[in-house]
This record gives sequence, structure tokens and C-alpha cells, in this order.
Amino acid sequence: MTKDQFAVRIEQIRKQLYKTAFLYFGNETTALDLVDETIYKALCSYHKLRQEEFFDTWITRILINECHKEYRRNKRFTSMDQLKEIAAEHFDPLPLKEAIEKLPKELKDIVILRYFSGYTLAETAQILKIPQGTAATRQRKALRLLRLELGEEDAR
Amino acid sequence: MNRIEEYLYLLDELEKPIPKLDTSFDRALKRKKRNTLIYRPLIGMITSFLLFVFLVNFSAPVAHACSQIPFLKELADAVTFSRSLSEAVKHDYIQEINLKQTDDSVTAHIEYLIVDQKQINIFYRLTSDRYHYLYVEPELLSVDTEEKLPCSTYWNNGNEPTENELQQITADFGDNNVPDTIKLQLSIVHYPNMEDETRTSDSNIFDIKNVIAKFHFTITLDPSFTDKGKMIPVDQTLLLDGQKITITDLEIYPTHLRINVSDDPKNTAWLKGLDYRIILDDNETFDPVKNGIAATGSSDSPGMVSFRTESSYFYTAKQLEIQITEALWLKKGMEKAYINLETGKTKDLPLGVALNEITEQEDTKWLSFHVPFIKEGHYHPVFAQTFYDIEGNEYTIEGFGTEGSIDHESSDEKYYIHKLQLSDFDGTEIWLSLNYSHHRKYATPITLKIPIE
Repeated sequence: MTKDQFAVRIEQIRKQLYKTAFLYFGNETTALDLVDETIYKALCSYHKLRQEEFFDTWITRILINECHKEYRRNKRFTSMDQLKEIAAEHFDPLPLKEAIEKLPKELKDIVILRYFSGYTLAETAQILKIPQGTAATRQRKALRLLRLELGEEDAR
Repeated sequence: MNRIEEYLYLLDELEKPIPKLDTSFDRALKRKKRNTLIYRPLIGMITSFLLFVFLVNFSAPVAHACSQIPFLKELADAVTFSRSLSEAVKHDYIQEINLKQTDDSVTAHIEYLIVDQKQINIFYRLTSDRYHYLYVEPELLSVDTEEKLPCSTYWNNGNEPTENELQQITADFGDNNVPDTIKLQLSIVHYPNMEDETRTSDSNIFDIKNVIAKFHFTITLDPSFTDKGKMIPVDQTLLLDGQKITITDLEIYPTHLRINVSDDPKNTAWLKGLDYRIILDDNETFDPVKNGIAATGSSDSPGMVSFRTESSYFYTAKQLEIQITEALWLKKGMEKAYINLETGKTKDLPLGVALNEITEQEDTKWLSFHVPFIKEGHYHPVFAQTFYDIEGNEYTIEGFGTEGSIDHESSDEKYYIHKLQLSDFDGTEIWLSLNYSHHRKYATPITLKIPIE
């Protein structure tokens, strides 16, 4: 991949990256910083990407890692263990954007990638490096907590 | 609004244009260019006539006092990274120079000096209608013999003349005094590949180098500046981590303050660094030099013998207190770390440092290490400039670099990436010279009070 080709791919995907980062933190400034960091890291290492057809999932993986790091910096995790104590009712009064923000990262990843960033279940599993079955389970759990009745055809 | 309606509304909201997003790729390109520039020129930045070890810090600028005189505001802006130099400008401790020369559409203008008994800071400007990125290679020469003066020189690089900003060169004379007159030779270097915005790789930007102009300026230093310095005897011994370190004396100059130390031959480790602050009369605090020479060693041993802080020269006080919060050590007998370039096996790397990867491009190998921050936001030198092969032959590391910060997945500590460049080396095993093996933070600072009336 040449630098020009890389630039074209960035132009095509940057909005999608921004949406993902924005839904993580609900904040335009933080989202832009994370997209900047992601594009910079991708620029430093795109020459290592052997299969260009995986560019989108590869760069999204970088972004998800950056989002997780930002979470650790601010110690904002809710773990899946803590989730056992939290019922769907906890999320009901919250606006959808806030409810998504408050999901444990494992569920948030799935919801954002599947229903806002336009990835298939298979692509989502690949980005998150989890089995497709695990991705499907987490997807159901997240939608149940958010009281969001979306089917496969609703994924964007 | 039900959840589905919220979902659709959120999807629409996310479609709104974000103007700053359009330039995200440009920002990444500029940042990569800045980080790439640090590799090769960094080695060229420090030339030393004296055979002793340096510890040089370069970190982000911190705003300090600004000159009250309007036409010096640009000089004040140029020195915001240094409290000592900012105080010098504030107190009009400045020698104005107005020397200008032009060669091949490049003009060099020497404008100001901040000088004391041990250090010369030269402020100059480069302008050009023809070239965009210009680098300088300065040398200070004797007026009489044209030989290099006994000093260490460092400077920022990568001038963009269209920005027309004041740039700085610092010449530090160590234990010697600055002379009355100097000859400043400025070689102006241009890398034509750097101007090629269509390039697909940065790996060759330094391959072609042209010296497009050379200037010689004879500069006479005002003697009212060059005899400034105060010596304060101390001769007190501290016990740090079981090691005896004696603070022998302080030297206070307008450009910096030196804390001179000696160590006990029975110590089991060399002192390689200190984190500390100086407090005057329980009031003003002065930090170690953040941009420039932070410490010096000697040719006799790996240990550091002098540490530098921002200067208290322009303050009056009765007492000075040194508060030591951390020490960096190199254990005797553990001065080198082993790396197998084929297998990646390592031995005796400093605590927390790990080899990340070894990559190769043509005849150059890049070694990349995860290094834990000792102090947040500050890169510290892990390795010295030399390495050895299995037969003990000495080589020089061609380039160093640091890159951003990463979080180590299994720890809350922050790490950054430190890279070494080895060129034209065929061996499979190397021994890298270490700057330190371990460090210790003190929960309660170790303090020393020194009367300075």
C-alpha cells in the first residue's frame, strides 16, 4: 500500500472511526484526539499490513485499543463481573447515548461496531479477536440491557 | 421518544459534519515528520570536545517570566522553555548583537547572546525565499587558531525559514571558562528529499545532504557578562540507598546552577541521575534543567559528578535546601545489557525495560524497547551511545528515538517506545552500554540545607 492509497482509505473510514470514538466517550474533543492518535499509529505501521483487504478491521482494532487505553487512564471501566449486579432497569432512565457509554466495554464494543459503525458480526468478532459466538452472545446481552430491539437487518 | 426513535436520532446526530476531522490525516503526517526528524539529527545535535558523559533532557516548553521590554518579547518567547534564560531576559541580562550575512538566498542574522562564565547562548534567525526546511551545523572556533573551542554544543534543528523565528545554539564550556571572542561557523544544510511532499516513505529523507551556505561570524563577548558566577562550598555527605554521596560545592551562574558531587570508592553502584528540587528560604523552588545539559560525568568513571538546575542567580536568599526525591543507579559490574539480534534473547536490561521487536531495512537494524516512564512525560536515556560485539569491539549507535506513550497491557504503569538504530552491523550478538540499572523513589525526600549568604 502506498502512502497515497493509505490517505484515500483514511478519507473513506475516518468518519466511521470518529463515530466509534464519539460513542465511547460522548465527547467530540476526546473522539477527535483518539482518531488522531489512531491515524498516526496506523501511518507509522501500515507498511506492515500484509493483506490490504483487512485495512478497515485493522485500523478499527487500533482505535478500539486506544479507546480502552483512554478508559484505563480515566479508570472508567465497568467490568462484566460488576454487570451481574446491574439490571436493565439501571439503564432505562438514561438517554441511549449515555446508556451505551455506561455499558461494560465488552458490550459497548459490540453495540458500537455492529449498530453504529456498520460491521457485520464476523467483522466485529475479528476486530475484537473473539469467537463469533461470543460476539453474538454479547450482542444479545447489550441489546437487552439497552431495551433496544434491533435485528440483523437493522445493523448499520 | 422510544428507544428505536432514540437510536435513529443518534444515527442522524452522528452524521453531522466535523470540520476538524477533515485535517486529521495532515496532523498525523506532520506529527510523524516531527518524530522522524528526532532520530538522525539528535546525534548531530551534541558535539563535545570534552571526553565526558552528558545527560541531556529535552521536554515540552513551560511558560516562564516574560521580558517587560516589548522588542525583547520575541526573545522572551524563544526562551520560555528555560527558567534561567527567562530570568536573564527579565533582568535584561542580554548582549545585543546585530550581525547579518547572506549566501545563496539564505540570510543568517545573529541577534542576541545570553552569556556567563561557563555558557554561551546564541539567538539567531535564518530566512530564505528559496528553501523551506533548513538545518544548521554550528561550530565554535578559536579566533586565533581556528581550532574547535573546548565546549559542548547543542541546538534545535529543522528550521522552517518561512516561520522566521528566533532559533538557539548553546555552547557549554564545562569546567573551562568562555573566551573573550569566538568565531561562530554556521553550515546551513538542506535535505532535498524532505521537500518532496509526494514521497511515500520517510526512510530516505536524510540520504541526500547539501551544504548550501556557510557563514562565519566573529563575536566579541561583553566581559561584564563573562565573569559572572558564585562558588559556595558545601562538603556534606548523604547516604542514598546505602551509597555515600558527598555534595562538594555549588556553582551558581546566570544560565544554570551546578550541584557538584563525589562518590565513595566503596559504593556498589554509580550515581547516574537524581530527581530533586532546590528551595530558597522556604519560598522559591527551582527544578532540574529540563531542556539542556542536566548532568555531567567524568572520563574516570560512569558516575555523574555534577547536576544542573535552573538558576537562582537573580534571587537573594540566606539558605538553599536540596530535596532529593529519586536516584538513578548503575550497579557496578552491570554496565552492559546483552541482546541476541537473531533470537531476541536479552539479559541484564534495566528494571522494567523490555525488547519489543527488532526490524531490519537494508543494512539498518532498528531495536525497539518498551521503557517505563520514571517520571511521567519525561523520556530518559536508557542506553549510552556505544555498543560492543562478541569480541569487545566498540561501535556507535547511529540514531536514537522515542515515540509517544503506550500502556502496557498487564500493568497500570505507562511506557513509551525507545528505538536504537544500528547501521552496517553484521554480528548476531551485542552488548549495549547502559545508562542505569535501577532507580529508587524516596517516599520522604532526603534533604540538605546549605547557608548561602
